Amino acid sequence: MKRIRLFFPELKRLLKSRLTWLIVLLTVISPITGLILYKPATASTMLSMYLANPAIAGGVVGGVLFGVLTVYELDRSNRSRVNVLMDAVVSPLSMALIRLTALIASALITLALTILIWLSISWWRIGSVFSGVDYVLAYVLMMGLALPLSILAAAAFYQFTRRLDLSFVLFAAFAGLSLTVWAGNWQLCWLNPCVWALSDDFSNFRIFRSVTYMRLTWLVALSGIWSLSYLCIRRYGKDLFRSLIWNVRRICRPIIALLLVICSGIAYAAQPMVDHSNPDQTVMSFYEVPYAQDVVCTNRSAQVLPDTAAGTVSGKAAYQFQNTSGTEQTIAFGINPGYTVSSVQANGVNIPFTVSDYQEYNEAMLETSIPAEEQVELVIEYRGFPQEDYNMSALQGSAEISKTYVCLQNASLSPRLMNVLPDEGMYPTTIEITLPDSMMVIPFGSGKAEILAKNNDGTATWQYESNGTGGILYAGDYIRENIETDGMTIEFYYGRRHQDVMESAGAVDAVKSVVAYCTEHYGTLSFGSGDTLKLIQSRVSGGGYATDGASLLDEADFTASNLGDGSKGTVAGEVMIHELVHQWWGLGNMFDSSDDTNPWSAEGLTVYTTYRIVKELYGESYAQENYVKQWQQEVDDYYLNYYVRHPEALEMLPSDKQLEITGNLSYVRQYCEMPLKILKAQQLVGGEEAMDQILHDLFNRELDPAYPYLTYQEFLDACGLTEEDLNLD
Amino acid sequence: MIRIFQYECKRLLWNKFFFGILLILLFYGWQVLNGVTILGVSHTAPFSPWSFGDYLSRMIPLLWIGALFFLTFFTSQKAQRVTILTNATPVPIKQYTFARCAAAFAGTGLLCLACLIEAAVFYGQYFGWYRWGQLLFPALITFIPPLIFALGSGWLLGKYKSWLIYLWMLIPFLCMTLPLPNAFGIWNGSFFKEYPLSIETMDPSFTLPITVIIVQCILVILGIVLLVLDPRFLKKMAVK
Amino acid sequence: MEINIRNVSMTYPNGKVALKNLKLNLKAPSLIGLLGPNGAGKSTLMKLLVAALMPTGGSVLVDGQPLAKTDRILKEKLGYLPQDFGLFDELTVSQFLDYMAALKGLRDPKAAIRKTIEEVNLEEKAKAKIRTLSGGQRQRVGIAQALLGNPSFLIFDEPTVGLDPEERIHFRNLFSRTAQDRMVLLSTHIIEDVQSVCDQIVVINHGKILFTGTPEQLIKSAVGHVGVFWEKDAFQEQGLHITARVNTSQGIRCRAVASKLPAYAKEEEPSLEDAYLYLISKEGA
Repeated sequence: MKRIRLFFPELKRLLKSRLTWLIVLLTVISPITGLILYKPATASTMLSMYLANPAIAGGVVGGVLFGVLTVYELDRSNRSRVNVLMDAVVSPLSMALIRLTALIASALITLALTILIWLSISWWRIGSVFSGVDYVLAYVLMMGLALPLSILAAAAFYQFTRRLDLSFVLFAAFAGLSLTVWAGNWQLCWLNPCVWALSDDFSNFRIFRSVTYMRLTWLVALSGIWSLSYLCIRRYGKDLFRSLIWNVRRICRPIIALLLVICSGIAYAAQPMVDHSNPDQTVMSFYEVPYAQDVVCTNRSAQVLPDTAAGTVSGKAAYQFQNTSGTEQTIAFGINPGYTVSSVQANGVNIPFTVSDYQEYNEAMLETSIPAEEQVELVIEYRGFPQEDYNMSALQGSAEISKTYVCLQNASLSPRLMNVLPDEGMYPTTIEITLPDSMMVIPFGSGKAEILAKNNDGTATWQYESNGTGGILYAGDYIRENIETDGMTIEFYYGRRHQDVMESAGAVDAVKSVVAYCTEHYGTLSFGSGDTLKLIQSRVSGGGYATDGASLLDEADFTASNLGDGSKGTVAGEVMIHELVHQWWGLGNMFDSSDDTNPWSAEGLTVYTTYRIVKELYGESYAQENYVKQWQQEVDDYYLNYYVRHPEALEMLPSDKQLEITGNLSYVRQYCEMPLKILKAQQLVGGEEAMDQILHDLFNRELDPAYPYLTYQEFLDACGLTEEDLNLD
Repeated sequence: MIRIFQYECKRLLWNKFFFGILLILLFYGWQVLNGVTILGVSHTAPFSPWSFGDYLSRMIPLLWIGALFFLTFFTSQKAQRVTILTNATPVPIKQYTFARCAAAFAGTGLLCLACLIEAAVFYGQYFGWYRWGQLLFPALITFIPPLIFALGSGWLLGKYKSWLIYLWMLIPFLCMTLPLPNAFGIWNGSFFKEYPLSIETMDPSFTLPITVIIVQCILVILGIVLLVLDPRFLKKMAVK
Repeated sequence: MEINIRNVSMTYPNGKVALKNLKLNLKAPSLIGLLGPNGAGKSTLMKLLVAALMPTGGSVLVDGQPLAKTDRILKEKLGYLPQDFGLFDELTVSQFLDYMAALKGLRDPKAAIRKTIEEVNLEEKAKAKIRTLSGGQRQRVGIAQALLGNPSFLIFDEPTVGLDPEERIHFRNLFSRTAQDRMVLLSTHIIEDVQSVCDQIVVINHGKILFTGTPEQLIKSAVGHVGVFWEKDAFQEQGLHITARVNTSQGIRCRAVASKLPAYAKEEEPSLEDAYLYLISKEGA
């Protein structure tokens, strides 16, 4: 009770200090550094730029400031010699606890002020995709929890050393480690959590869970370290070790401290978020598992039940095998390492199984033996929290499971069959998935999901057919637009939260124009299945990809800020056109991206095609003004650049600097110079029609599987031109 | 007064704070030089007066904070308690103020010098460029006016209320967000980016428009006036 | 040197009246003890004398010249130790004194500093940083800076606070020696200090002077007003101010001052402390 009584005067004293208010003020404005200086979240979604970055930067700056305040405040009583008076009234141990809680309380007040003050700014910057839940969680987890961690660490350093300067140095080193050496390790970066992206259109609970886990692990660890330092608080004029011996006489104190440290160690080692996949990504041993002899898979099905509140999945997968070998056969499956297999049954009988400790590419190997019977039905029951790949641990968030978004890929959806061949080249698959009825299920492929049943608990069971050993499934709060184009129906799926942005960018018209134009001029997309193509806007994932019947568009390409990026098109709809053209030049036809400074990239043809479509839509003068002139301006600027004019100066620089500068310059060459060159080529080959024919032929060329990329030389050859011919004046 | 100046320099410069801010300044400066200056500003060389001026204008906020921090050595409550003793001495208050401000100016000058040396090392190491004389004028015109103004205004504010100095430290950051007229371009760094483009020649030599020169001169004069202005005079004015 | 305080009043901007129509004449050489309870106006008076404040009424004349016009001349002759002061913690004792010597414009600061450091017994700490000094040692640095340069007018506000008895006696003697050819104004609560060294006393309370004169005169004014008695014999009596209670084997023996001693009290020879307390209590009544 005495401690509680003393807490309020201590907090009051703390809040009367000008330094405290200066630090509160600086912490409250510190998220601004995330807008201009420190941008760890590299994705271009609005929430990454205007929420994650300010919150993380606020946490870093606020954390450092509160660390400084903590050391300064703890040293204050020594400096002002008031500890002589205090120690006579209150035990130094109690006072340490009171000071700590007062500092943490002041940090909480600061956080509350920051959340209130930045609410309107964030809302204004983020626009229609602003979400209150994401806002509060981002500030509490990414910024708020950094403050008590810093306070605990700084207080512990001071209590160990009892020296202001040494504590500052130790704290600076500890913070510095997080910001540098540990920055890429999601569990160690205690001050600046590894958050590379926040989704605008869908939820972000998976990344928030990961940040929370990291923060709580450190909270326990630093509480343990603080508790150990608490035992070192000097008493009765004794030195560190004698005070320690004195303080541990109450045995519960060291026990609590040690328990906290041990718990944090366990929490660190047994983290559930990422797996232990082999860091050597050249090893693909799971693809070398020998196929089971005389066994084929005739059918498979899975019933999947994601728990959108807990972010877990439970499921039951059934496989029909035809075993003509007459002997038992070992069957191997890849399964998400986060899942626990509760039972494996063969023809209704439980059979033994093993799950390997070795993991690779986000899979563990489940092995079991099927009996020597001709027809075997193998049923696997599994459940758990899908883990993400260790090698992508700094880029977590893809295994999002929530009421607005689910993405289950391959072994996370159901165990992936590894070593059984299909019967007649097919793995007929039926997937049933039960999700909240507000969600729409979209199989990534040609399959069509249909509602099988609407359940009384507010969920709906969906079913779809597919073919393969794995499969990818998207589900979420999607809006579907059916776009009829020449000979093809485009099913365009985008997040409901993005509706305003998509509508204002004229998404449907853009899709129509692009598909009509590109199909007519270059040909049908090779991954279109029959007459339908699904265009699915995914949660931010770092890029798009395509398969038969479906193509993925990363939401980052359609953020309000990206749609306002003048280099990709003058108006938002034109950026949409640009991103969709990438389905032809970038996905349909791949470009070698190993050298990202190469002027010949997917961007050249994409920007050129965007220009052509815009010319058709808005007329020649508009396209000339907003494309050709802009390219020319950028290219002129490029040739005025000091390093372009003086390449010898560039050569004087260290190689990493050279790379950085050429990287900056390559943007102009890819986005502006190359389209200009293609335009020049168009004039030299005889006009637009001739160029369209050349591009059509290139698009539909015979691919070399060993090097399926479209090269500049191929383009020049197709045009019958040389590099020199395309030099700009 | 030289002894006072020496002691004030010792107080201001021989402490952890000075070395801390020096380290921060050098670290930030190196980031700017490596991240921005190295690219060159407005098509000019990284070692052109324009790119160099851009680097300097990016350093001003930190130097501003450093200069004002030096003043807190004179205006803090702890320092005010010593003033009870010094006020009882026959030293003329203006001379004493001058000696102290000279020390603060020397400290700020040292920080500026560190920025300049860092740039010189950068240019020498990366480009083998050593013609530093060309950069003297941009350095003087960029650094001196705002820092004199910082000391003058900070001195007056600190005399009035010591905590006002801390608020005043935020001014350069405020300037960065405000749409300032072109004449104030040095304050938010826009001048070095925009003016050389308006000259329309390749690698233009360093010149200043008259409005910028006037603004910088006004800042110097204002800084000096504020420095010599007696706060009691202001109080009297306020009463009137 | 002569200081003439003419009808000086001082009212702070917050309305607090610190001094009311004060009249006082001080002449060198003398060691004047300034006595008075907390908040009496002693520190305000001292600040006026060092021109740190300007009176809101009346004037202070130094050698016949108004202080407002001659404050620089006064400060050249002044050594001042305020009650609450700060030091530059980052400098050593010698450096700080050298700093103050520079401000005072001393011609041979080294010799003056050495002499003053010896006077205040800080030889061992001369090269120590001020932040490492104890409270008593800091107080001695304060005294040292006041003594620096042999000023002809010294003002000490509670100079012996934080000093041990031996040091106190040392400084008392130092002040006494110093006052042989100069004017020293000593403000203190320790009556013993005043009694030992001061040749003149000024008692001030509620911003008014209650007494000026020698210690003997003050003692004399209390004759017949100091008495001792046994507590068991005493009644509740108004106007009796007990100054001491001693537990003895025969009971509690009290010493008191009063305008009119009760019959059960036995008259005693007054001490300076009795006289001071009598004066203050009389004013309170």
